[in-house]
Amino acid sequence: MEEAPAGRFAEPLSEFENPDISGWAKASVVCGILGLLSVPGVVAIFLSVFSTELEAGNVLGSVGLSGLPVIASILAIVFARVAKRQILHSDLGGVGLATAGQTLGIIGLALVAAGLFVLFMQDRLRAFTEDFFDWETIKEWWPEVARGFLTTLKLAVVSEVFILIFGLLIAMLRISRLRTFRVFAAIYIDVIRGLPLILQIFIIYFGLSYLGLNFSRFTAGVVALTVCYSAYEAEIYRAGIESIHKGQMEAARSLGMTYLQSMRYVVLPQAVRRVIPPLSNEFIMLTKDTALVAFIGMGEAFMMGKEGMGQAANVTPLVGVALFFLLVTIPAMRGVHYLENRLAKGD
Amino acid sequence: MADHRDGDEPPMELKPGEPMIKIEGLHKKFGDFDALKGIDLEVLPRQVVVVVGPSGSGKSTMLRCINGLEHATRGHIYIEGVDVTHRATDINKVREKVGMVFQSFNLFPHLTAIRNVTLAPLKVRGISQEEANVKAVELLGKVGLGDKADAFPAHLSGGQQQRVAIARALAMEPDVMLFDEVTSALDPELVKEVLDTMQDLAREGMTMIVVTHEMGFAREVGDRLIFMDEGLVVEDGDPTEIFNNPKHPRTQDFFSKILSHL
Ligand SMILES: Nc1ncnc2c1ncn2[C@@H]1O[C@H](COP(=O)(O)OP(=O)(O)O)[C@@H](O)[C@H]1O
Ligand SMILES: [Mg+2]
Repeated sequence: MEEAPAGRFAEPLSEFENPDISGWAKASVVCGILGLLSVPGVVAIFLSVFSTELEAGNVLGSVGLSGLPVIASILAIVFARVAKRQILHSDLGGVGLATAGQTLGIIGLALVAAGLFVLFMQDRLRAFTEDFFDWETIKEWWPEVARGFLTTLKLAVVSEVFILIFGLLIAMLRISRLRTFRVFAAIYIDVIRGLPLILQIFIIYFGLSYLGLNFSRFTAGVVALTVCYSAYEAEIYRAGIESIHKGQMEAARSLGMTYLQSMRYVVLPQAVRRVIPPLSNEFIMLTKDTALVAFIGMGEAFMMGKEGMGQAANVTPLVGVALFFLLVTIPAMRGVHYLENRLAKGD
Repeated sequence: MADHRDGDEPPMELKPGEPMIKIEGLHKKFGDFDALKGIDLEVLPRQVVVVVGPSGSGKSTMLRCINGLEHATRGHIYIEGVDVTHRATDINKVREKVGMVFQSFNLFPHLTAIRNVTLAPLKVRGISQEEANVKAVELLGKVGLGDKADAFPAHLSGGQQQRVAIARALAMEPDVMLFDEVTSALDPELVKEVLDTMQDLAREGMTMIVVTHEMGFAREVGDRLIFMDEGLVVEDGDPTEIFNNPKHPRTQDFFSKILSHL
């Protein structure tokens, strides 16, 4: 292809630059922005659901929802369509502008629709939020719930430290060459895993006090959680240790290392790597199960939430507790998932 | 038969001219199964003994009894005069003197090559980190892996891993090395580099027991060949002589099978 006559391309090129055509796109964007005038009103309506102090929101809201923004949004969408039909597809700027206008128009309409829905259902929504998200209750109870949740975390972390050590110890006994140790560990693991945690907590707390050992509730909680969870984590450790090929132990022993040295420097580092994900899952479970020590009167998150529910006569404090838990457990679960993937690739 | 467990003291040290390893009437049972049915063997210092025999004949079991990875059911094994089977013998002390290399390498996958080599000297002999590093670098250089010190086993070829395993065993400065089919898991093109390393070691005067199917190695490097079958040593002598003129029908049968593929 050489020397194409310039005139052939001249016409569409001039059309491409025609201000009238990209003008539709600009008009669409302007209308789209006008359509967002409903935003303050819609927000006010939303807020009015949570607090009766914001009754004025209804007035404002009506203004927000009045015809102007609706018409503007519809125009934005229409103009965008017109613009798109006329603009050359090679005119990326024009197409982008039209798409922006269209999007704004759709958002504007959606906002108005949401606002109308909330306005319509206001009474029901208000009853719902009064039970579950009551503003007054939140203001009054959140410090208590937060403090309770801190206790929960402290309980979980302190227990986990003991569990990691004690669980490993039980696992080592479980795989010992000495039958007595093996049998002892097996019985321990079976008995503990065969009982409800709440029962163990009661037996340990009240049992110890009948024996004249008066532990604080926190200590009793830590002891009970450690006794119970060590059995589960011991089994995880054991599976991890047994998953390491026996040639590793033999190679280490053949170099003159003792059984314990071989465990410590060769087998355990590999086993622990493999059990980090399941151990982390146990830790998440433990964090949730700390709620059970509320039953021996420990002022942890669940206990505080329950007390708040009783006094405020709505469920808001418990919802707060739930949110605190999720704030910790969901990222933790995501983290474990990530670790699992990383380790799967590494092996 | 607990007779060898009597007495309070393990027998005394090696005297000049005595064998480095002396096996007397070694029996090993796995449950009801007799894996070893009375092995007698003496290995002199600096000798390279090649062990050949069909699969399941007890070659690995014999090596594993020598360094205490398996407990002898009956009989005695003396290493430098110390009875490995004696109750009062500190098996860890014996193992410091007996290096072992396995078919499946068994490198520690979580440690780099150099840390594989330094681990036992650091923990068992309690030498300093610097001393261990210097020694390890020297040994890795010797097995031709001076540039792989910081590589993890997963990033090394089979032949390289096996050479690191040899360096790891040498780091304990053993007097005897046991090799259990160390090239059997390797791709053919990687076998030579490992055999060369072993040949160098033999030249330096290391006492070695080598279980292998590499007949070229047996002929060139071996001072002596023993043929095992069903838990017994059935032939023992000069490698070339046994190849050319096997006496026992089992040996004849075995070599005719192997050699028919050459
Ligand atoms: N730990 C064990 N338990 C039971 N039987 C075993 C065990 N180790 C080896 N054996 C048996 O002992 C015999 C000799 O095995 P091995 O020494 O590995 O033979 P080789 O190394 O000559 O192939 C085989 O029949 C094997 O199945
Ligand atoms: Mg074998």
